[in-house]
Amino acid sequence: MTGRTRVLVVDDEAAILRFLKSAIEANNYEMASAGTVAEATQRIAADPPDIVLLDLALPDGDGKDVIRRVREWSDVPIIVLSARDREVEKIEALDLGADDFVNKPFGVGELMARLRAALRHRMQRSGETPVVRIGGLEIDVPRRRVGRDGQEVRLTPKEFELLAFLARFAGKVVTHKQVLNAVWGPAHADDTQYLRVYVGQLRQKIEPDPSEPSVVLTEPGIGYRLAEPRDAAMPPS
Amino acid sequence: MPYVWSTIAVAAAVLIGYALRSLAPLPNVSLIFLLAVLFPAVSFGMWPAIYASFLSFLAYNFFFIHPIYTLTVAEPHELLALVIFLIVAIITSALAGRVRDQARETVMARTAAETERVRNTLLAAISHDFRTPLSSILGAATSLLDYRDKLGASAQADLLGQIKQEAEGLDEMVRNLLAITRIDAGGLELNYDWVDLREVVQRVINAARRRGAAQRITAALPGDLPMVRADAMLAEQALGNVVNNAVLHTPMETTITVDAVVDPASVSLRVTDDGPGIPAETLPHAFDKFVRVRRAGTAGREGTGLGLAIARGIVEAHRGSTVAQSPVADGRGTRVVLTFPREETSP
Repeated sequence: MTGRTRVLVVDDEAAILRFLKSAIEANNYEMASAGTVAEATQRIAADPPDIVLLDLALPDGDGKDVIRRVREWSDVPIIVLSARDREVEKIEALDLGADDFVNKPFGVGELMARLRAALRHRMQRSGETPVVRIGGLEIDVPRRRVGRDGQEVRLTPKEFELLAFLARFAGKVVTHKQVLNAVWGPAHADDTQYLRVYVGQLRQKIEPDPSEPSVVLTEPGIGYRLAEPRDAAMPPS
Repeated sequence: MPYVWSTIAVAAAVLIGYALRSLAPLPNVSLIFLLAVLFPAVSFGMWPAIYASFLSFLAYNFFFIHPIYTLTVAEPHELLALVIFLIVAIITSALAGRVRDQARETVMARTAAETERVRNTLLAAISHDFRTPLSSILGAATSLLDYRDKLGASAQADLLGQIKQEAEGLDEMVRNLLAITRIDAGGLELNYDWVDLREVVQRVINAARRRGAAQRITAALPGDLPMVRADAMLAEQALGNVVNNAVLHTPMETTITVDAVVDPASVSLRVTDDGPGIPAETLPHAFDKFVRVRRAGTAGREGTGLGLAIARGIVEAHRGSTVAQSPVADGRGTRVVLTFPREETSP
């Protein structure tokens, strides 16, 4: 990567672009923008950005078309901006290959956290998951060890696999289906009740306050998100 | 279905024709078949009536015209029956159709007027409810623009915090308005999945505390609380609205408890407060749109009067039910119960 990280914002609303520009530049990234599906696809091809922020409601069509087309030849991280109550749309976007989503309207701090997580995840995509630290929690995936405030936490093999999978995508959303596929196998891709039970047990063991989870965060209707490393204080969305 | 009924009408005409002819010699049985054509023409329109005309002609010919039980047309005037049946079918169905259209237009006009009335109430409520947060956002923003240099750091942070908080309030109002519009249009799409109600309750309580609820809010859920099939997001919105309603309408020293009753066929979430309760005359309308209970000494500002209506809409879309009860004990308190149906396979 040469120079500053370049963010392409695909949105047709001037007010959004205006405040995003100041926020993105304040974080020392560079920002370019596109207002339509056609322009976005063309720009990503001609001048590839490091990451794309994509609004799904565009004047000339559905933002999901951008994901569909771009994913044919590029794995640039894509973060989708979508209204809170459009879960189905978000799941579709994630299934098409989007990396994450942010609910509209959003706080800038939350958006930047997603952006960092997606960029970080892209850089470590080839290597294996290192040790992940969130608050007082330490997940050592290669050595299959989990500690909280220096004390070892005993997890069952399934609980560990679940946590390790979430840790591999720390800071990023993973859908119920993705977790079930990876940890329980494709035959159980729809058995979300297993997942809820195990997430509940896991929270009892690793959360500082299981009644207000700050490590394994719920994305209602979509999936889970392990809190961003070193930033466990981020409030659940 | 119209064709089945038309066939039945013709069959009935055959039976009536036979019955009458056994009582007295009848010169013109075809008149009875005319009734069998009129009935579908009035009830179902042209094509079923034309179908009945042909069927009547065949039945009349087969059962009543010599040689009986054959379909030979001996005389040209027998075809006249068919022609008359067809004319009656077409004219009557056209007339009946016009009457039906007029009736439909009347109903549509009435529905449009009702929709217009609801829309006006909605707009009045929205403009009123939006103005308060907008005023404070505009006020805080212009204070910062005009007097930034004179304001201390904490005053600046306070104004910025106010802008954020009021904007979040507006976002929530927009969500509720979208939800009620969808519920009214019958367009609420449920994204069914296994939902851990314990988590829903916890998230709702945490959100209420984050928004600065002054009341004591506690959860008292049984250990065997089963999962239910529901839309996680909407279930959270429904319960959130009920808890929010309790927060808005009770004094600060109130205790709000969320508990659950587990039945073989359902799980009920109950939000109970020990506040002053709802007046008896308002209770039957607790779940109606734009019904607000005004009481002195409550902690919060007014709501939009949509919260409980949305909660009911969401729960009913899940084929569940809602109940409001007040007083709960010692002449005080309000309890709102959201009942979700259970599937036998719930773990």
